Amino acid sequence: MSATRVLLLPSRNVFTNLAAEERLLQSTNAKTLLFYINTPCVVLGRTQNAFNEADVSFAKQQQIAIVRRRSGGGTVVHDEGNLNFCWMTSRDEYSPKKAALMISEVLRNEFNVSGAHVSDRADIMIDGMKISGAAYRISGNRAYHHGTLLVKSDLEQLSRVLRSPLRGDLTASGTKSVRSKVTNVWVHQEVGMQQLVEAIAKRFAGTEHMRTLSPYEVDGFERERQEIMSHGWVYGQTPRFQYEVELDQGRRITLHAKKGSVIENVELHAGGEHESKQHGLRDALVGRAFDGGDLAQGLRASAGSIAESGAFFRGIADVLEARVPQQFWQREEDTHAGADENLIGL
Amino acid sequence: MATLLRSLPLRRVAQSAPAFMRPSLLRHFSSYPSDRKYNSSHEWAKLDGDVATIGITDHAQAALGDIVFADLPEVGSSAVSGERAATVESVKAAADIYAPLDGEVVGVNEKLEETPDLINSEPHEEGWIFQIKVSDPSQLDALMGSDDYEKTLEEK
Repeated sequence: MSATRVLLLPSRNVFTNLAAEERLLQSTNAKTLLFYINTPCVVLGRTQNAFNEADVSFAKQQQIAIVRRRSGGGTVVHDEGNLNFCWMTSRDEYSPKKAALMISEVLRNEFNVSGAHVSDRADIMIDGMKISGAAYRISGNRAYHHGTLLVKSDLEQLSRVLRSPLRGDLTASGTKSVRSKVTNVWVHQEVGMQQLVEAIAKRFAGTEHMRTLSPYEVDGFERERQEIMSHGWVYGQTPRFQYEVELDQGRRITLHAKKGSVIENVELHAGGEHESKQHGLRDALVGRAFDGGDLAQGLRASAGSIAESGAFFRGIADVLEARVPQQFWQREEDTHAGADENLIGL
Repeated sequence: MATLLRSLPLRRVAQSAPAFMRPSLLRHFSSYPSDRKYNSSHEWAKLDGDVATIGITDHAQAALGDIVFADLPEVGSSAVSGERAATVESVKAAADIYAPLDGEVVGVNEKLEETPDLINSEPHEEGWIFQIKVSDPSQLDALMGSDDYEKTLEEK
């Protein structure tokens, strides 16, 4: 076992921190414990669907960034009351539960949180409620276990953004989130962030000494940051999914989106003569992005040219415009993440 | 006995078997086919003509656990040796799959869309992941044979 170095990222920008984390994994071999804190954001697992996991319109309105991370697992929300840790090792030393066990030990022994324990899913729990979620990434001969630790988060605010209005009508492939009751460490012990970080560092590395690392020191950081901020990553990596919409009189349509949330097929479920209508729907919608405005525009453009189905198409346009989120894409600079360009410590 | 054990996923044996049957010893039964090459990040490549089929090794699938999703490369995209080409996800863990050779992706295992756990049950056969039309077959010489790959596992 080689010595563990402890690093602290000074930014509160989620894109900056995730990019630095990824590039540290790829560009060094040192065993590393990393800490960072982000402004409010939704962080999806590698193969998840933003529409299914979050209210993307609410997120945009509140300037809460929606981010896709490179590790597996379910969606989490972060704010400045949440401490993120990442333990990087060689692939051979990778052990899914070890970091969680060590952190729960710190909570019990150093902060007297007697109920802290690790669940079967490697989450840290207190009295049956989750305070820390875990996710893993393996790349080449390196691996990490990273996780959240809810210290003093605004849980109510955070849960609102996860209430997706599309869930229930959307069938996503990829990983599903497991909803859990959550709580803060603060409920059990009023512990400061700095105190907690030092105690965890001591348990992992045998020292409280840590270095504040500028992300610009990390090889390949800027390119990675650009990539994870891109539409092509956040939405372009959405695995294929289906979305079913109720029309009227028991009629429904199913939108099939291929990888990248672009419509590749449309099915109309209605009794009787609907063959030609289904054909028309496909012509109007296939190739368009899964965006209520975009889909409605396609239908209205087609409605004019097919007199007998015009009203039918316009009706579906109204329904999709109302149900499918529109113009939800957020540029980084318009989110809380982008608003914070300062490099500040804990 | 050896044949029977080979047909069981190592993971299950590891959980239920007495110490003498655990994976470190099972490796001596040589479960890694000699008709292909391996790299240190646990991918295998099997060349047929100028097309190489790529998958992950039994060791890799056992370490990952139950695979629930495979993100496959696009047919027609280029594969670059040592760079990520695909991702597989087990419960909470996402693992990069590297292209072990340069070339063009000419096929993906579409069965993995519905049954990604084929990678667990048959990592060296039905659980293959993608195919590359290789631009330089001599790149295979730089990869390990099954004996050398197994030695790297024993050292762990």
